[in-house]
Amino acid sequence: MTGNPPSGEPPDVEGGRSDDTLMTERAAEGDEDAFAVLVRGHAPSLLRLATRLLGDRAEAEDAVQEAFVGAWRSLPEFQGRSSFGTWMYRIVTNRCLNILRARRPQAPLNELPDLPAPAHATAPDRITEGRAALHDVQEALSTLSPEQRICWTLRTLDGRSYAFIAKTVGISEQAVRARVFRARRQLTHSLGAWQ
Amino acid sequence: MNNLPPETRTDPDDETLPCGRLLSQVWADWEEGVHDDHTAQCAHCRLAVADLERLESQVRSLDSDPAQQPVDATYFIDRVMDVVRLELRPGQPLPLGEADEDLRIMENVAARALRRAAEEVPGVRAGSCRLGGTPVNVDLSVHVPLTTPDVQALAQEIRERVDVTACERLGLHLGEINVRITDLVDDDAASPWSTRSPQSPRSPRSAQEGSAP
Amino acid sequence: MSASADSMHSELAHVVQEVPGVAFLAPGLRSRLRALRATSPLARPGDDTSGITVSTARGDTRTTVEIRLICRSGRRALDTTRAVREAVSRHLATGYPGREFRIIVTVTGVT
Repeated sequence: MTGNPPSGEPPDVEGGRSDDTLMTERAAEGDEDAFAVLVRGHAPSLLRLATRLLGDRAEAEDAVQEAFVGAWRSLPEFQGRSSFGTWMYRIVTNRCLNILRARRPQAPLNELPDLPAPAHATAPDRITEGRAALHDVQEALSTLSPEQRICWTLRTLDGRSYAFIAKTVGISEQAVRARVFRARRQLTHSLGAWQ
Repeated sequence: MNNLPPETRTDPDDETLPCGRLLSQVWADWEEGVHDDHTAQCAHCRLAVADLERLESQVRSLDSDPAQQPVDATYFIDRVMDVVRLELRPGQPLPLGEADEDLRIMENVAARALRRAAEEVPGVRAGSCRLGGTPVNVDLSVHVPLTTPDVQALAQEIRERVDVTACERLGLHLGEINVRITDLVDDDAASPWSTRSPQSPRSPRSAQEGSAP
Repeated sequence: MSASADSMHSELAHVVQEVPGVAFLAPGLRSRLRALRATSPLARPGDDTSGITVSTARGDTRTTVEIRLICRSGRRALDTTRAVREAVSRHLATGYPGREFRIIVTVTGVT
């Protein structure tokens, strides 16, 4: 049994480290070496975030690269209201949301599709090991609306609090809770754990 | 599938378990670690929680699959910086030597040298460094150690280093050098740049501005 | 004009690169694009003349020569730029007698 998901923020986002603040000031003034330090520090966690949100490493790299280049352009106007990490987290999340929205014709938001039972429905453990399981999860994730998928991923895989997700995505905490709930309900259905 | 009156349901997708509890509530209680006598005994609630736990533990175990994790981000960082270097912001040209010499240095190049000069003072880390005006004035922001015994003296030392570097390494005549201390940094906080030996602890001073005449 | 401008560019590039304290001429956008995938485009000496601009403003009798370069940190930037100005001035005086030049030297990096 696993414990409950953590509700705090991992230090890589909210930890307004002294050096990050200084490097952000320098980069805002056009110091590309300082920006390189920021990219080096934040790229791994942002790539992981985007890969989780999009389910595709190559797409994630494009999204994070565009987010960094956009950040470089708008840094002179960045007033440091939040830390660089929090700012980037928000940019990457919203970029991924737009990518998911553009990826396919949007499914009706509230509808639970009546999914046909997978072929291995009679197996005792429906979620199998390794690649097959990964494939099943990714398939199930693709049935979620982009908003559900983003909220659920930030909550379950990235361990963010509802309040943090609400601020990141720009919706109410209640709306985040509703989306995470719907995503969980749909995923437990899709992955066959429900019966 | 739902037989409760709609006013008890906050979400149209919610579901009422055979025991009468809302699925959303059961899951929220699990997530927040809330337990009561009912959930401990109710088979329906326990089943619902078990389903969610299974989902979460399985997606998390897949998520930590090494094949899904970035192995080396170095090439990615280079890729980003290649694009950034096509859009450099060098700042304005500043006069080197005498004003009529037509010799110039880009603001960013000078700022970088002056930040480095300030950082020659042990424990000092430089951030914003703006240059402009005639003669060229400097506005420099620094973080200094919390244990700095005399902040004014430290600011003066920074100004001297900046001035010496501007004269002797660049050949840039400076007007005012304003040093702003924007943070007092705890010595114990490990910094990758910190090479200074720890000083004896003193009473912390408030951040203050030191400005050259 | 364009043929002589081209040769003036490569002559001046050669002259500038001989000056002590000069690391290399500032790379232009073209060579920075070419340097994609290199760890740092500044680390590649500019083998082109993109750091040199020769222009004549309408109504101006003087030709403006602008040199953009990367200095070595071991020598004072002002001394390097002065030496560049002197070397360029000498070269232009002998190679293009009778013409007037304004020489601008800009440091775009220190390495």
